[in-house]
Amino acid sequence: MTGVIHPQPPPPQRPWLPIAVVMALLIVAGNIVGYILYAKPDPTQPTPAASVTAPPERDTPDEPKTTPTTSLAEEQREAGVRALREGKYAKAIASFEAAIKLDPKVADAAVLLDVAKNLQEAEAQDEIADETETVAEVTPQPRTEPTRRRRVRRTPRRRRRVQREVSVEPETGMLAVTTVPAALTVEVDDFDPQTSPVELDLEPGPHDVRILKDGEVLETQRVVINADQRTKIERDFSGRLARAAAPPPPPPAAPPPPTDGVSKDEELDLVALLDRDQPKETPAARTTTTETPTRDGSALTPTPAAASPRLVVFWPGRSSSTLEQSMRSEMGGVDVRVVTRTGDLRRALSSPTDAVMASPYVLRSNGLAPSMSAKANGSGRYFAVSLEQTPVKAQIANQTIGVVDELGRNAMPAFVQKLLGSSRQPRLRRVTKVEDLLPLLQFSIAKTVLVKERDFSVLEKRTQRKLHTLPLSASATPLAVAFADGGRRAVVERAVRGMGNQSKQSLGVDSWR
Amino acid sequence: MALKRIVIVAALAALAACAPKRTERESSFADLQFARRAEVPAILTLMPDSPSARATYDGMVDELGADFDLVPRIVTRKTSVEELAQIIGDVKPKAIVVMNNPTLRLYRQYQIARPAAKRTPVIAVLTSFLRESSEGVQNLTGVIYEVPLVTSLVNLRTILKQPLKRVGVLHRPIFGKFIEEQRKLAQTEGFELVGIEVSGKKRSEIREGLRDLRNEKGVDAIWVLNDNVLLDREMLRKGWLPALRRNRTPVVVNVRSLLSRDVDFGTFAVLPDHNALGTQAGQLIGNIAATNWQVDGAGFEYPLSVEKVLDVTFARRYLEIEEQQLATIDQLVE
Repeated sequence: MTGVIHPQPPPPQRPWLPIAVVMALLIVAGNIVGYILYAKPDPTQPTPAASVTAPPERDTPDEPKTTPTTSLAEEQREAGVRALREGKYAKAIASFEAAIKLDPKVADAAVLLDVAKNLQEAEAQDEIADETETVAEVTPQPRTEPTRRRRVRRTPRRRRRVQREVSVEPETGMLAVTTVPAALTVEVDDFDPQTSPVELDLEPGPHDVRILKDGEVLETQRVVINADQRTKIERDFSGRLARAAAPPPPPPAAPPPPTDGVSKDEELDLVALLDRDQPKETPAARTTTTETPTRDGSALTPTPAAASPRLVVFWPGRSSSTLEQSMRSEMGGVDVRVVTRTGDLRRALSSPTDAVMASPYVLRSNGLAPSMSAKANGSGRYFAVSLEQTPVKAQIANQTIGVVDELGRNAMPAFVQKLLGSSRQPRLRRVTKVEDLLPLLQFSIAKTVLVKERDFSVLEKRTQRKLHTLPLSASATPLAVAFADGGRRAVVERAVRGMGNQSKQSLGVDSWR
Repeated sequence: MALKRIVIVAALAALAACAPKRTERESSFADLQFARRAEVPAILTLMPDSPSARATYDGMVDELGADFDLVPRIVTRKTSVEELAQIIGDVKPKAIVVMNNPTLRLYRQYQIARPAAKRTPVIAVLTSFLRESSEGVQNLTGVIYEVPLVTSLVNLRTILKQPLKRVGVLHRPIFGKFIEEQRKLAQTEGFELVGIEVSGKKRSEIREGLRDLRNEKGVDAIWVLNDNVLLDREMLRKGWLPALRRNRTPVVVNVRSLLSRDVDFGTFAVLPDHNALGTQAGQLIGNIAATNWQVDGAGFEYPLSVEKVLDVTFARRYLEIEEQQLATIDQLVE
């Protein structure tokens, strides 16, 4: 470094060297100052987990990647998103406009275009603020009481920032707000509220001024303050306030809808925009009718020989992903699909399938004959559970009962009736997950819920309230497997019998017979 | 300032980019021809053409498709009361499902314009703050769209080894009643809700409120209310995002896009399971059908089923979590 600070006298043929060295030093110094001012981390805090400074690139599956087959409009949209992330708003706007021109329906280009335009405008305002911020509040103006001229308080962040700047003579402009009636609240940006009439010294640039009475905004206005100039706002609200005093105040407007990108007054509604689902969550459109597929018991359609044999596992109430993962790894060569909802089971069975694993009553209700059954590794008992008091078996059927749906709307009541040994069909509230039984009790939708013994721990783990239980004598039947006629039964059966311990434990299966 | 701007822009861009691409398949939903079945009661669904609405409708079809004639009709902001009356006259439904706030507003206008018309049972879903939004609509029941706080907290507590008792929230005064309701429900599971009222007019309130919740009130988690005013673009830019930089307190959100690995905002998102929401609405319709199409006293229900998303990088770095319980989370963001 010494050699750099005190360089050798430059040879006559290189007179530019000292200038270059000085410029290099200035650049380095500038970077160091910049780092200290903007990026130096708080030494008391560790590095944040997901800082907003993280690179904006995303490789999550929910964000579509550009491929050679992507349309030109889509490519323009992607280019616009990239430019938006890089802060190149003009480029982003151009890209989104091009995308819309190529295909007016392309994704959300119109919304993104709006976002880009708003950000460009915000950046322009920030730049003006940046320029004025450096010269503010170094020498406060003396307050002149008779005219109620005030200097507005700055936020701590802004004050700290200003202290780092070079001392320069301040340049401010004045904003004078006069109202009829007087004594209305005047808010400028996010500074402390003032009372009208008032004169404020403000930094040059745009400022948002709001005039309020009892919290109700009477007027919002953006004013641009010029250095050494006086800007006046004079408003008469007497007529409006007199009119407003006559009828009762209107109720607060209902919050805008959650799924629209545009609010009631046609302004961009960011939260609604954010609330949109991820593309991967978009369900497939129903291409047929509202008719529910029904099975006539004539068996499944086996998969073609070229494809892996397919096993559908119906596992109601629990998460499918872990089980599906372990079964696929332990049953090599078989395409395992785990479904947890009755509707998903119906849809899965309408595709070519070689075998189905489910409770025998589920198989039968779908017109399938169980031909291989499991020996369970637990009792398989059901518990009746309540938050208030221990359920009385004779009374359970008279109340609304919560239960995980296994058979659908029409078959499930008869199943529970049999389970309870009741003379009448109970009124049910069916849920798709075991954990959803708890809200049924918490929100008093059901007095009692029925849960399999091995699933009881799921409820116990989630609540701090006491769960009153009544073991029922009836037991859940262990799993069974039904095979498609003409399918590759031998392959699937061998894989099922050879299933590893992890899958067997998850399924509550000890062995197969 | 430039760096800060880039940071905020990156955050906003990441959030904005979460908006999905509308595919051809989606946009064709309105054009699908649904065969009518005259032999079973008709249920008319007035819905926007959005992914959430379609997932909810699919849940209803799973629940009721075998026993009812489900007739979907797309409603937009351009749909008039006269057009709605025409649809209702054509379908002659036994019950009407309305999805989202604009649709509910349109239906209210229809009821006002036709006071003598038969009051068909109405089931509202996907509607923000349903109790307040449905004022004046007759013969109505439905499923509230907001995930109850107690549900969010029970799910977060399940994956935590550390205590979760005090939870802070910033809210505007008009949400006081809703907050009080959530406080009571949360109390039943041992949670204490600490609320700070903000006017929603100043960004500094957000920064100061969050600082107060974390430093003075010592909350174990922060809950972000779905309030468009508190979450508008400027509030996000100059209120929430600066205040949540380097945050180590879990932040519970009920909007998916407020949780992103690119942004220091939500830690744990708890969202309505739209398909299950449709099933739940279908069961309400089934109950109404069983009582001869009467909705008296049916009231509103909270959603029962939710989807959970966790910023697992944040959780592993700053929270004591039970790794085994991560299997119960629907989506882990790393």
